[in-house]
Amino acid sequence: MTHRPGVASLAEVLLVAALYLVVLTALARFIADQGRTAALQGDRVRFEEAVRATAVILGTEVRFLAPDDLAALAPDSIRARAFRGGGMVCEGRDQEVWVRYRGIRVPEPAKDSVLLVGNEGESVHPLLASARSSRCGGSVQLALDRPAGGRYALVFETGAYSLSAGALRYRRGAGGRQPLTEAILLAPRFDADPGDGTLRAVLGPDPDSLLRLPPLSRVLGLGLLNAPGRP
Amino acid sequence: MTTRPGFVFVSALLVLMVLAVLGTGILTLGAREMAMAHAMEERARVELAAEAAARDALARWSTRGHAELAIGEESTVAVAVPGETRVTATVRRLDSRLFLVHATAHAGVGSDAGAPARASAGLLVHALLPHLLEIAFPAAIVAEDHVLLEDGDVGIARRCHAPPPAGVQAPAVVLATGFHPSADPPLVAAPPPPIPEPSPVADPLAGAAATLRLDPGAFRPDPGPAGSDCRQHPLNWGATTPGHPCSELRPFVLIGGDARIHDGEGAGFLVVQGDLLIEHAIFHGIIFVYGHLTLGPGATVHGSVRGRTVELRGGDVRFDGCAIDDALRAGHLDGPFRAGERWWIPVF
Repeated sequence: MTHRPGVASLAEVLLVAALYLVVLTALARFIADQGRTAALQGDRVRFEEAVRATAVILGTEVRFLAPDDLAALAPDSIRARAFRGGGMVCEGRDQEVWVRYRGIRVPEPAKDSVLLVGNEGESVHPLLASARSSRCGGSVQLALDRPAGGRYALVFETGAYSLSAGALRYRRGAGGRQPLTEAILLAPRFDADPGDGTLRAVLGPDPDSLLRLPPLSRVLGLGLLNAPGRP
Repeated sequence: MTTRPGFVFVSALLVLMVLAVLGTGILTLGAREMAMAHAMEERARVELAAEAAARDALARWSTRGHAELAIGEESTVAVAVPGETRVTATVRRLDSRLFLVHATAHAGVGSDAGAPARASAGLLVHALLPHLLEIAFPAAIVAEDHVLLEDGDVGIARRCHAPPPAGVQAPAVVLATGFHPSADPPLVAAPPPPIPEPSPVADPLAGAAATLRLDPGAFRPDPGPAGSDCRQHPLNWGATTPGHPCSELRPFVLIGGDARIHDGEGAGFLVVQGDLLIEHAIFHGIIFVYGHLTLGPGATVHGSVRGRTVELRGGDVRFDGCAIDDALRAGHLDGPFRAGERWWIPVF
Protein backbone atom coordinates (compact mmCIF):
# COMPACT_ATOMS: atom_id res chain seq x y z
CA MET A 1 0.00 0.00 0.00
CA THR A 2 1.30 3.35 -0.95
CA HIS A 3 0.58 6.70 0.74
CA ARG A 4 -0.07 9.59 -1.53
CA PRO A 5 0.82 12.96 -0.15
CA GLY A 6 -2.12 15.50 0.14
CA VAL A 7 -4.80 12.94 0.25
CA ALA A 8 -6.32 12.15 3.62
CA SER A 9 -7.78 8.92 4.54
CA LEU A 10 -11.47 8.73 5.40
CA ALA A 11 -10.60 8.13 9.04
CA GLU A 12 -8.48 11.29 9.14
CA VAL A 13 -11.24 13.35 7.58
CA LEU A 14 -13.79 12.02 10.01
CA LEU A 15 -11.49 12.69 12.95
CA VAL A 16 -10.81 16.25 11.86
CA ALA A 17 -14.49 16.87 11.22
CA ALA A 18 -15.35 15.52 14.65
CA LEU A 19 -12.73 17.70 16.31
CA TYR A 20 -13.95 20.76 14.43
CA LEU A 21 -17.49 19.91 15.49
CA VAL A 22 -16.47 19.71 19.12
CA VAL A 23 -14.51 22.94 18.99
CA LEU A 24 -17.20 24.83 17.10
CA THR A 25 -19.91 23.56 19.45
CA ALA A 26 -17.86 24.66 22.45
CA LEU A 27 -17.27 28.04 20.84
CA ALA A 28 -20.94 28.46 20.02
CA ARG A 29 -21.95 27.61 23.58
CA PHE A 30 -19.29 29.91 24.95
CA ILE A 31 -20.49 32.77 22.77
CA ALA A 32 -24.11 32.06 23.67
CA ASP A 33 -23.22 32.01 27.37
CA GLN A 34 -21.35 35.25 26.97
CA GLY A 35 -24.35 36.72 25.23
CA ARG A 36 -26.65 35.59 28.01
CA THR A 37 -24.24 36.99 30.61
CA ALA A 38 -24.17 40.29 28.79
CA ALA A 39 -27.95 40.30 28.56
CA LEU A 40 -28.26 39.50 32.26
CA GLN A 41 -25.74 42.19 33.06
CA GLY A 42 -27.68 44.60 30.90
CA ASP A 43 -30.91 43.70 32.70
CA ARG A 44 -29.22 44.14 36.03
CA VAL A 45 -27.85 47.53 35.00
CA ARG A 46 -31.28 48.62 33.78
CA PHE A 47 -32.85 47.37 36.99
CA GLU A 48 -30.29 49.21 39.07
CA GLU A 49 -30.83 52.34 37.02
CA ALA A 50 -34.53 52.08 37.76
CA VAL A 51 -33.78 51.57 41.46
CA ARG A 52 -31.45 54.58 41.48
CA ALA A 53 -33.94 56.76 39.67
CA THR A 54 -36.65 55.71 42.10
CA ALA A 55 -34.37 56.41 45.04
CA VAL A 56 -33.47 59.87 43.74
CA ILE A 57 -37.00 60.87 42.76
CA LEU A 58 -38.81 59.54 45.82
CA GLY A 59 -35.96 60.48 48.15
CA THR A 60 -36.04 64.07 46.92
CA GLU A 61 -39.83 64.31 47.10
CA VAL A 62 -40.21 62.68 50.50
CA ARG A 63 -37.18 64.29 52.13
CA PHE A 64 -38.87 67.55 53.05
CA LEU A 65 -42.40 66.33 53.62
CA ALA A 66 -44.17 67.31 56.81
CA PRO A 67 -46.79 64.91 58.17
CA ASP A 68 -49.61 66.96 56.66
CA ASP A 69 -48.07 66.76 53.19
CA LEU A 70 -48.65 63.05 52.82
CA ALA A 71 -52.28 62.72 51.78
CA ALA A 72 -52.53 58.98 51.26
CA LEU A 73 -50.39 55.87 51.42
CA ALA A 74 -51.35 52.61 49.72
CA PRO A 75 -49.27 49.57 48.78
CA ASP A 76 -49.11 50.73 45.19
CA SER A 77 -49.01 54.51 45.59
CA ILE A 78 -48.38 57.55 47.75
CA ARG A 79 -50.20 60.82 47.26
CA ALA A 80 -48.34 63.86 48.51
CA ARG A 81 -47.40 67.45 47.94
CA ALA A 82 -44.59 67.78 45.45
CA PHE A 83 -42.79 71.09 45.98
CA ARG A 84 -41.74 72.84 42.81
CA GLY A 85 -40.36 76.14 44.08
CA GLY A 86 -40.62 78.83 46.67
CA GLY A 87 -39.26 82.03 48.06
CA MET A 88 -39.61 84.92 50.41
CA VAL A 89 -42.78 86.98 50.18
CA CYS A 90 -41.49 90.49 49.58
CA GLU A 91 -44.86 92.21 49.30
CA GLY A 92 -48.49 91.36 49.84
CA ARG A 93 -51.73 93.15 49.02
CA ASP A 94 -55.17 91.66 49.48
CA GLN A 95 -55.14 88.31 47.75
CA GLU A 96 -51.88 88.88 45.90
CA VAL A 97 -48.35 88.22 47.01
CA TRP A 98 -45.04 88.95 45.31
CA VAL A 99 -42.48 86.24 45.83
CA ARG A 100 -38.76 86.18 45.08
CA TYR A 101 -39.29 82.86 43.45
CA ARG A 102 -36.80 80.12 42.69
CA GLY A 103 -37.77 76.67 41.64
CA ILE A 104 -37.47 73.81 39.23
CA ARG A 105 -40.22 75.33 37.09
CA VAL A 106 -42.43 78.41 37.03
CA PRO A 107 -45.71 78.33 39.00
CA GLU A 108 -48.65 77.05 36.95
CA PRO A 109 -52.13 78.00 38.15
CA ALA A 110 -53.61 74.98 36.42
CA LYS A 111 -51.82 72.57 38.67
CA ASP A 112 -50.25 74.39 41.63
CA SER A 113 -51.20 75.49 45.11
CA VAL A 114 -49.30 77.74 47.50
CA LEU A 115 -48.33 77.04 51.09
CA LEU A 116 -47.57 80.18 53.08
CA VAL A 117 -45.53 80.01 56.27
CA GLY A 118 -45.39 82.73 58.91
CA ASN A 119 -45.28 83.44 62.60
CA GLU A 120 -48.69 82.00 63.21
CA GLY A 121 -48.24 78.81 61.26
CA GLU A 122 -49.08 77.97 57.69
CA SER A 123 -52.00 78.21 55.29
CA VAL A 124 -52.70 76.58 51.95
CA HIS A 125 -54.22 78.42 49.00
CA PRO A 126 -55.15 77.46 45.46
CA LEU A 127 -53.08 79.41 42.95
CA LEU A 128 -55.44 81.44 40.78
CA ALA A 129 -52.94 83.27 38.62
CA SER A 130 -49.23 83.78 38.26
CA ALA A 131 -47.17 86.38 36.42
CA ARG A 132 -43.65 87.71 36.36
CA SER A 133 -43.24 91.10 38.01
CA SER A 134 -40.56 93.73 38.32
CA ARG A 135 -41.41 94.43 41.96
CA CYS A 136 -38.88 93.62 44.63
CA GLY A 137 -36.16 93.63 41.99
CA GLY A 138 -37.76 90.76 40.10
CA SER A 139 -40.42 88.52 41.51
CA VAL A 140 -43.38 86.38 40.69
CA GLN A 141 -46.86 87.69 41.40
CA LEU A 142 -49.19 85.04 42.76
CA ALA A 143 -52.94 85.55 43.03
CA LEU A 144 -54.48 83.49 45.81
CA ASP A 145 -58.03 82.71 46.83
CA ARG A 146 -58.01 84.94 49.92
CA PRO A 147 -55.74 87.37 51.75
CA ALA A 148 -52.90 85.65 53.52
CA GLY A 149 -50.19 86.76 55.89
CA GLY A 150 -47.38 84.27 55.50
CA ARG A 151 -43.85 85.43 54.76
CA TYR A 152 -42.46 82.43 52.89
CA ALA A 153 -44.23 80.77 49.98
CA LEU A 154 -43.83 77.20 48.80
CA VAL A 155 -45.41 76.28 45.48
CA PHE A 156 -46.51 72.68 45.16
CA GLU A 157 -48.62 70.36 43.12
CA THR A 158 -50.42 67.39 44.57
CA GLY A 159 -49.44 64.22 42.79
CA ALA A 160 -49.34 60.49 43.23
CA TYR A 161 -46.27 58.35 42.82
CA SER A 162 -47.19 54.77 42.11
CA LEU A 163 -45.22 51.57 41.86
CA SER A 164 -47.18 49.54 39.37
CA ALA A 165 -46.60 47.35 36.31
CA GLY A 166 -42.92 47.16 37.18
CA ALA A 167 -42.19 50.89 37.11
CA LEU A 168 -42.29 54.06 39.13
CA ARG A 169 -45.01 56.28 37.72
CA TYR A 170 -46.26 59.75 38.46
CA ARG A 171 -49.78 61.00 38.13
CA ARG A 172 -50.86 64.56 38.76
CA GLY A 173 -54.50 65.09 39.55
CA ALA A 174 -56.66 62.89 37.35
CA GLY A 175 -54.05 62.52 34.64
CA GLY A 176 -52.56 59.28 33.41
CA ARG A 177 -49.71 57.57 35.14
CA GLN A 178 -46.54 58.54 33.35
CA PRO A 179 -43.69 56.06 33.79
CA LEU A 180 -40.54 57.58 35.23
CA THR A 181 -38.47 54.42 35.03
CA GLU A 182 -38.27 51.41 32.75
CA ALA A 183 -40.81 48.71 33.58
CA ILE A 184 -38.26 46.38 35.05
CA LEU A 185 -38.92 46.51 38.80
CA LEU A 186 -39.99 43.22 40.36
CA ALA A 187 -43.37 43.35 42.09
CA PRO A 188 -42.68 46.80 43.51
CA ARG A 189 -44.79 48.20 46.35
CA PHE A 190 -44.81 50.69 49.20
CA ASP A 191 -44.97 49.62 52.82
CA ALA A 192 -44.05 50.83 56.27
CA ASP A 193 -41.17 49.54 58.35
CA PRO A 194 -42.75 47.35 61.03
CA GLY A 195 -40.20 48.65 63.54
CA ASP A 196 -40.39 52.41 63.25
CA GLY A 197 -43.08 53.00 60.64
CA THR A 198 -40.70 54.55 58.13
CA LEU A 199 -42.03 54.63 54.57
CA ARG A 200 -40.31 52.06 52.36
CA ALA A 201 -40.30 51.27 48.66
CA VAL A 202 -39.78 47.58 47.94
CA LEU A 203 -38.49 47.37 44.38
CA GLY A 204 -37.44 43.72 44.20
CA PRO A 205 -36.63 40.63 46.22
CA ASP A 206 -33.02 41.67 46.76
CA PRO A 207 -32.35 43.43 50.12
CA ASP A 208 -30.49 46.12 48.14
CA SER A 209 -33.77 46.93 46.43
CA LEU A 210 -35.41 48.03 49.66
CA LEU A 211 -35.45 51.83 49.88
CA ARG A 212 -36.08 53.50 53.21
CA LEU A 213 -37.58 56.94 52.73
CA PRO A 214 -37.54 58.72 56.07
CA PRO A 215 -38.64 62.34 55.87
CA LEU A 216 -36.30 64.70 57.66
CA SER A 217 -39.18 65.75 59.88
CA ARG A 218 -38.88 62.38 61.59
CA VAL A 219 -35.28 63.06 62.50
CA LEU A 220 -34.84 65.29 65.52
CA GLY A 221 -32.70 68.33 64.98
CA LEU A 222 -29.87 68.87 67.40
CA GLY A 223 -30.60 71.91 69.48
CA LEU A 224 -34.04 72.36 67.98
CA LEU A 225 -36.42 72.35 70.87
CA ASN A 226 -39.70 70.61 70.65
CA ALA A 227 -42.86 72.20 71.93
CA PRO A 228 -44.96 70.17 74.37
CA GLY A 229 -47.42 67.90 72.66
CA ARG A 230 -45.63 67.94 69.36
CA PRO A 231 -44.05 64.75 68.02
CA MET B 1 6.53 25.34 0.60
CA THR B 2 2.99 25.93 -0.57
CA THR B 3 0.30 28.09 1.07
CA ARG B 4 -2.89 26.23 1.51
CA PRO B 5 -6.25 27.84 2.15
CA GLY B 6 -7.71 27.21 5.67
CA PHE B 7 -10.33 28.62 7.91
CA VAL B 8 -8.90 28.05 11.40
CA PHE B 9 -7.24 31.43 11.47
CA VAL B 10 -10.32 33.19 10.11
CA SER B 11 -12.53 31.35 12.58
CA ALA B 12 -10.26 32.33 15.47
CA LEU B 13 -10.35 35.96 14.38
CA LEU B 14 -14.13 35.95 14.18
CA VAL B 15 -14.45 34.39 17.61
CA LEU B 16 -12.00 36.88 19.06
CA MET B 17 -13.95 39.73 17.50
CA VAL B 18 -17.22 38.51 18.99
CA LEU B 19 -15.58 38.09 22.38
CA ALA B 20 -14.00 41.53 22.12
CA VAL B 21 -17.37 43.13 21.39
CA LEU B 22 -18.99 41.34 24.31
CA GLY B 23 -16.10 42.14 26.61
CA THR B 24 -16.09 45.78 25.62
CA GLY B 25 -19.81 46.01 26.26
CA ILE B 26 -19.48 44.50 29.70
CA LEU B 27 -16.54 46.74 30.56
CA THR B 28 -18.46 49.80 29.35
CA LEU B 29 -21.44 48.84 31.45
CA GLY B 30 -19.16 48.32 34.43
CA ALA B 31 -17.53 51.70 33.97
CA ARG B 32 -20.92 53.34 33.63
CA GLU B 33 -22.10 51.59 36.78
CA MET B 34 -19.02 52.87 38.61
CA ALA B 35 -19.65 56.43 37.44
CA MET B 36 -23.29 56.28 38.47
CA ALA B 37 -22.44 54.78 41.84
CA HIS B 38 -19.90 57.54 42.37
CA ALA B 39 -22.45 60.18 41.43
CA MET B 40 -24.99 58.66 43.83
CA GLU B 41 -22.39 58.60 46.57
CA GLU B 42 -21.55 62.26 45.95
CA ARG B 43 -25.19 63.16 45.97
CA ALA B 44 -25.80 61.38 49.26
CA ARG B 45 -22.69 63.02 50.72
CA VAL B 46 -23.70 66.57 49.83
CA GLU B 47 -27.28 66.00 51.01
CA LEU B 48 -26.04 64.78 54.36
CA ALA B 49 -23.52 67.62 54.52
CA ALA B 50 -26.23 70.21 53.87
CA GLU B 51 -28.37 68.72 56.62
CA ALA B 52 -25.39 68.57 58.95
CA ALA B 53 -24.58 72.22 58.22
CA ALA B 54 -28.15 73.24 59.05
CA ARG B 55 -27.96 71.28 62.30
CA ASP B 56 -24.59 72.85 63.10
CA ALA B 57 -26.11 76.30 62.61
CA LEU B 58 -28.79 75.30 65.09
CA ALA B 59 -26.25 74.04 67.58
CA ARG B 60 -24.65 77.49 67.51
CA TRP B 61 -27.98 79.32 67.53
CA SER B 62 -28.52 82.40 69.63
CA THR B 63 -31.70 84.35 68.94
CA ARG B 64 -29.99 87.51 70.16
CA GLY B 65 -27.36 87.00 67.49
CA HIS B 66 -30.02 87.35 64.79
CA ALA B 67 -32.29 89.85 66.53
CA GLU B 68 -30.91 92.77 64.54
CA LEU B 69 -31.88 91.29 61.17
CA ALA B 70 -34.77 93.06 59.50
CA ILE B 71 -37.48 90.93 57.96
CA GLY B 72 -36.15 89.67 54.66
CA GLU B 73 -32.50 90.25 55.57
CA GLU B 74 -30.02 87.45 55.86
CA SER B 75 -26.60 86.94 57.34
CA THR B 76 -23.97 84.27 56.88
CA VAL B 77 -23.28 82.00 59.80
CA ALA B 78 -20.21 79.90 60.43
CA VAL B 79 -20.74 76.18 60.13
CA ALA B 80 -18.40 73.25 59.90
CA VAL B 81 -18.92 69.66 58.88
CA PRO B 82 -16.29 66.93 58.62
CA GLY B 83 -14.95 65.91 55.24
CA GLU B 84 -14.03 67.72 52.07
CA THR B 85 -17.50 68.92 51.24
CA ARG B 86 -17.79 72.71 51.19
CA VAL B 87 -20.73 74.02 53.15
CA THR B 88 -22.23 77.44 53.63
CA ALA B 89 -25.18 78.56 55.69
CA THR B 90 -27.23 81.70 56.02
CA VAL B 91 -29.94 82.78 58.43
CA ARG B 92 -32.77 84.84 56.93
CA ARG B 93 -35.45 86.48 59.00
CA LEU B 94 -38.77 85.55 57.45
CA ASP B 95 -41.08 87.05 60.04
CA SER B 96 -40.70 88.69 63.42
CA ARG B 97 -40.29 85.31 65.12
CA LEU B 98 -39.54 83.07 62.19
CA PHE B 99 -36.11 82.44 60.69
CA LEU B 100 -34.89 80.28 57.84
CA VAL B 101 -31.55 78.48 58.05
CA HIS B 102 -30.44 77.82 54.48
CA ALA B 103 -27.52 75.41 54.21
CA THR B 104 -25.82 74.47 50.96
CA ALA B 105 -23.16 71.84 50.33
CA HIS B 106 -20.95 71.43 47.27
CA ALA B 107 -18.82 68.43 46.41
CA GLY B 108 -15.17 69.31 45.92
CA VAL B 109 -14.81 68.32 42.28
CA GLY B 110 -17.15 67.30 39.53
CA SER B 111 -17.30 63.88 37.97
CA ASP B 112 -16.64 63.17 34.32
CA ALA B 113 -20.37 63.29 33.77
CA GLY B 114 -20.94 66.83 34.92
CA ALA B 115 -20.74 69.55 37.52
CA PRO B 116 -20.00 68.92 41.19
CA ALA B 117 -22.94 67.66 43.18
CA ARG B 118 -24.78 70.31 45.16
CA ALA B 119 -27.56 70.06 47.72
CA SER B 120 -29.47 72.50 49.89
CA ALA B 121 -31.63 72.18 52.94
CA GLY B 122 -33.85 74.70 54.66
CA LEU B 123 -34.81 74.71 58.29
CA LEU B 124 -37.49 76.90 59.81
CA VAL B 125 -36.68 78.17 63.28
CA HIS B 126 -39.14 79.71 65.67
CA ALA B 127 -37.66 82.07 68.27
CA LEU B 128 -39.06 83.48 71.47
CA LEU B 129 -37.14 86.78 71.29
CA PRO B 130 -36.60 86.91 75.07
CA HIS B 131 -34.84 90.28 74.87
CA LEU B 132 -38.19 91.87 73.97
CA LEU B 133 -39.45 90.76 77.36
CA GLU B 134 -37.12 93.26 78.99
CA ILE B 135 -39.79 95.91 78.52
CA ALA B 136 -42.12 93.97 80.82
CA PHE B 137 -39.76 94.40 83.78
CA PRO B 138 -38.98 98.11 83.98
CA ALA B 139 -39.06 98.34 87.77
CA ALA B 140 -38.09 96.48 90.89
CA ILE B 141 -41.74 95.60 91.46
CA VAL B 142 -44.32 95.46 88.69
CA ALA B 143 -47.94 94.57 89.38
CA GLU B 144 -50.88 94.17 87.05
CA ASP B 145 -53.23 95.22 89.82
CA HIS B 146 -52.00 96.71 93.08
CA VAL B 147 -49.01 96.58 95.40
CA LEU B 148 -49.16 96.32 99.18
CA LEU B 149 -46.09 97.86 100.76
CA GLU B 150 -46.29 96.98 104.40
CA ASP B 151 -42.70 96.50 105.39
CA GLY B 152 -39.43 96.10 103.59
CA ASP B 153 -37.18 97.96 101.20
CA VAL B 154 -37.32 98.72 97.49
CA GLY B 155 -34.62 100.40 95.45
CA ILE B 156 -32.20 100.28 92.54
CA ALA B 157 -29.06 98.19 92.61
CA ARG B 158 -27.74 98.52 89.04
CA ARG B 159 -29.04 99.81 85.76
CA CYS B 160 -26.46 97.80 83.86
CA HIS B 161 -26.80 98.42 80.12
CA ALA B 162 -30.52 97.81 79.96
CA PRO B 163 -32.04 100.76 78.14
CA PRO B 164 -35.15 102.26 79.72
CA PRO B 165 -38.30 101.04 78.00
CA ALA B 166 -39.94 103.66 75.84
CA GLY B 167 -42.59 105.69 77.58
CA VAL B 168 -41.51 104.75 81.07
CA GLN B 169 -39.53 106.90 83.47
CA ALA B 170 -36.91 104.33 84.12
CA PRO B 171 -35.89 102.79 86.21
CA ALA B 172 -39.06 103.05 88.18
CA VAL B 173 -38.97 101.42 91.55
CA VAL B 174 -42.53 100.21 91.69
CA LEU B 175 -44.94 100.20 88.82
CA ALA B 176 -48.55 99.32 89.51
CA THR B 177 -52.05 100.59 89.01
CA GLY B 178 -52.61 101.14 92.73
CA PHE B 179 -50.97 101.02 96.15
CA HIS B 180 -52.11 99.96 99.57
CA PRO B 181 -51.43 102.03 101.52
CA SER B 182 -50.86 105.05 99.34
CA ALA B 183 -47.22 105.83 98.83
CA ASP B 184 -45.09 108.75 97.83
CA PRO B 185 -42.84 108.99 94.79
CA PRO B 186 -40.71 107.36 93.45
CA LEU B 187 -43.59 104.93 93.21
CA VAL B 188 -45.27 105.28 89.84
CA ALA B 189 -48.97 104.69 89.67
CA ALA B 190 -49.31 103.68 86.08
CA PRO B 191 -50.46 100.63 84.22
CA PRO B 192 -47.49 98.31 83.83
CA PRO B 193 -46.31 97.70 80.29
CA PRO B 194 -47.99 94.73 78.68
CA ILE B 195 -45.99 91.60 78.24
CA PRO B 196 -45.01 91.52 74.57
CA GLU B 197 -46.20 88.62 72.53
CA PRO B 198 -44.87 86.10 72.13
CA SER B 199 -43.37 85.91 75.56
CA PRO B 200 -41.65 83.03 77.23
CA VAL B 201 -44.17 83.25 80.02
CA ALA B 202 -47.25 83.04 77.84
CA ASP B 203 -46.10 81.27 74.70
CA PRO B 204 -46.90 77.57 74.52
CA LEU B 205 -43.22 77.08 73.85
CA ALA B 206 -42.37 78.25 77.35
CA GLY B 207 -42.58 74.71 78.66
CA ALA B 208 -39.99 73.59 76.17
CA ALA B 209 -37.73 76.50 77.04
CA ALA B 210 -37.78 75.74 80.76
CA THR B 211 -34.74 74.16 82.29
CA LEU B 212 -36.75 72.84 85.22
CA ARG B 213 -40.49 72.15 85.24
CA LEU B 214 -41.65 71.60 88.81
CA ASP B 215 -44.93 70.70 90.43
CA PRO B 216 -46.46 73.06 93.01
CA GLY B 217 -45.01 72.80 96.50
CA ALA B 218 -42.44 74.12 98.92
CA PHE B 219 -38.86 74.58 97.81
CA ARG B 220 -35.50 75.30 99.33
CA PRO B 221 -33.20 75.93 96.38
CA ASP B 222 -29.61 75.05 97.12
CA PRO B 223 -26.67 75.23 94.69
CA GLY B 224 -24.53 73.11 96.99
CA PRO B 225 -21.31 73.89 98.81
CA ALA B 226 -18.86 76.33 97.27
CA GLY B 227 -15.97 73.86 97.28
CA SER B 228 -17.62 71.24 95.06
CA ASP B 229 -18.56 70.99 91.40
CA CYS B 230 -21.77 72.53 90.17
CA ARG B 231 -24.18 69.60 89.98
CA GLN B 232 -27.51 69.92 88.24
CA HIS B 233 -30.56 68.82 90.19
CA PRO B 234 -34.14 70.12 90.52
CA LEU B 235 -33.29 72.32 93.49
CA ASN B 236 -30.11 73.78 92.07
CA TRP B 237 -31.32 77.11 90.69
CA GLY B 238 -27.85 78.61 90.50
CA ALA B 239 -25.81 80.59 93.00
CA THR B 240 -25.86 84.29 93.80
CA THR B 241 -22.36 84.39 95.30
CA PRO B 242 -19.58 85.36 92.86
CA GLY B 243 -16.98 82.63 92.54
CA HIS B 244 -19.37 79.84 93.46
CA PRO B 245 -19.18 76.93 90.98
CA CYS B 246 -22.85 77.53 90.11
CA SER B 247 -22.57 81.31 89.81
CA GLU B 248 -22.92 81.02 86.00
CA LEU B 249 -25.91 78.72 86.19
CA ARG B 250 -29.05 80.61 85.20
CA PRO B 251 -31.97 78.20 84.82
CA PHE B 252 -35.46 78.94 83.63
CA VAL B 253 -37.61 77.41 86.40
CA LEU B 254 -41.30 76.88 85.68
CA ILE B 255 -43.53 75.91 88.61
CA GLY B 256 -46.96 74.71 87.59
CA GLY B 257 -48.99 76.14 90.49
CA ASP B 258 -48.69 77.65 93.97
CA ALA B 259 -45.25 77.63 95.51
CA ARG B 260 -43.44 78.60 98.69
CA ILE B 261 -39.74 79.27 98.78
CA HIS B 262 -38.28 79.21 102.23
CA ASP B 263 -34.59 79.66 102.77
CA GLY B 264 -31.98 78.99 100.11
CA GLU B 265 -30.86 80.88 97.02
CA GLY B 266 -31.33 80.86 93.29
CA ALA B 267 -30.93 82.87 90.10
CA GLY B 268 -32.29 83.06 86.59
CA PHE B 269 -35.88 83.24 85.42
CA LEU B 270 -38.58 81.94 87.77
CA VAL B 271 -42.14 81.62 86.51
CA VAL B 272 -44.85 80.52 88.95
CA GLN B 273 -48.23 79.63 87.46
CA GLY B 274 -50.02 80.35 90.76
CA ASP B 275 -49.24 82.26 93.96
CA LEU B 276 -45.76 82.53 95.44
CA LEU B 277 -44.48 83.23 98.94
CA ILE B 278 -40.77 83.86 99.48
CA GLU B 279 -39.17 84.00 102.92
CA HIS B 280 -35.53 84.04 103.95
CA ALA B 281 -34.31 83.36 100.46
CA ILE B 282 -32.15 85.23 97.95
CA PHE B 283 -32.93 85.35 94.23
CA HIS B 284 -31.11 87.15 91.39
CA GLY B 285 -33.03 87.58 88.18
CA ILE B 286 -36.69 87.74 87.20
CA ILE B 287 -39.62 86.38 89.14
CA PHE B 288 -42.90 86.30 87.23
CA VAL B 289 -45.95 85.16 89.15
CA TYR B 290 -49.34 84.58 87.53
CA GLY B 291 -51.16 85.27 90.81
CA HIS B 292 -50.22 86.85 94.13
CA LEU B 293 -46.59 87.36 95.12
CA THR B 294 -45.61 87.82 98.75
CA LEU B 295 -42.09 88.84 99.69
CA GLY B 296 -41.84 87.99 103.36
CA PRO B 297 -39.10 88.52 105.94
CA GLY B 298 -35.62 87.82 104.69
CA ALA B 299 -36.65 87.65 101.04
CA THR B 300 -34.07 89.43 98.87
CA VAL B 301 -34.48 89.83 95.13
CA HIS B 302 -32.02 91.52 92.78
CA GLY B 303 -33.61 92.05 89.41
CA SER B 304 -37.34 92.46 89.01
CA VAL B 305 -40.52 90.82 90.23
CA ARG B 306 -43.89 90.91 88.53
CA GLY B 307 -47.25 89.53 89.57
CA ARG B 308 -50.96 90.24 89.42
CA THR B 309 -50.65 91.64 92.95
CA VAL B 310 -47.46 92.02 94.95
CA GLU B 311 -47.18 92.23 98.72
CA LEU B 312 -44.01 93.39 100.45
CA ARG B 313 -43.94 92.13 104.02
CA GLY B 314 -40.37 92.48 105.15
CA GLY B 315 -38.68 91.66 101.88
CA ASP B 316 -36.03 93.59 99.96
CA VAL B 317 -36.28 94.13 96.19
CA ARG B 318 -33.58 95.87 94.17
CA PHE B 319 -33.93 96.64 90.47
CA ASP B 320 -30.86 95.13 88.77
CA GLY B 321 -30.54 95.47 85.00
CA CYS B 322 -27.66 93.02 84.78
CA ALA B 323 -29.55 90.35 86.67
CA ILE B 324 -32.52 90.90 84.34
CA ASP B 325 -30.23 90.63 81.32
CA ASP B 326 -28.80 87.36 82.63
CA ALA B 327 -32.27 86.02 83.36
CA LEU B 328 -33.39 86.64 79.80
CA ARG B 329 -30.67 84.24 78.67
CA ALA B 330 -31.78 81.60 81.15
CA GLY B 331 -32.56 78.08 80.10
CA HIS B 332 -33.40 77.72 76.44
CA LEU B 333 -35.07 81.11 76.12
CA ASP B 334 -32.45 82.16 73.59
CA GLY B 335 -32.61 78.87 71.74
CA PRO B 336 -34.24 77.68 68.52
CA PHE B 337 -37.67 76.06 68.46
CA ARG B 338 -39.53 74.07 65.90
CA ALA B 339 -41.87 76.27 63.94
CA GLY B 340 -44.52 73.53 64.04
CA GLU B 341 -44.92 70.22 62.31
CA ARG B 342 -42.94 71.60 59.39
CA TRP B 343 -39.39 72.61 60.09
CA TRP B 344 -37.40 71.17 57.19
CA ILE B 345 -38.36 72.77 53.89
CA PRO B 346 -36.97 72.49 50.36
CA VAL B 347 -35.00 75.48 49.17
CA PHE B 348 -34.29 76.03 45.52
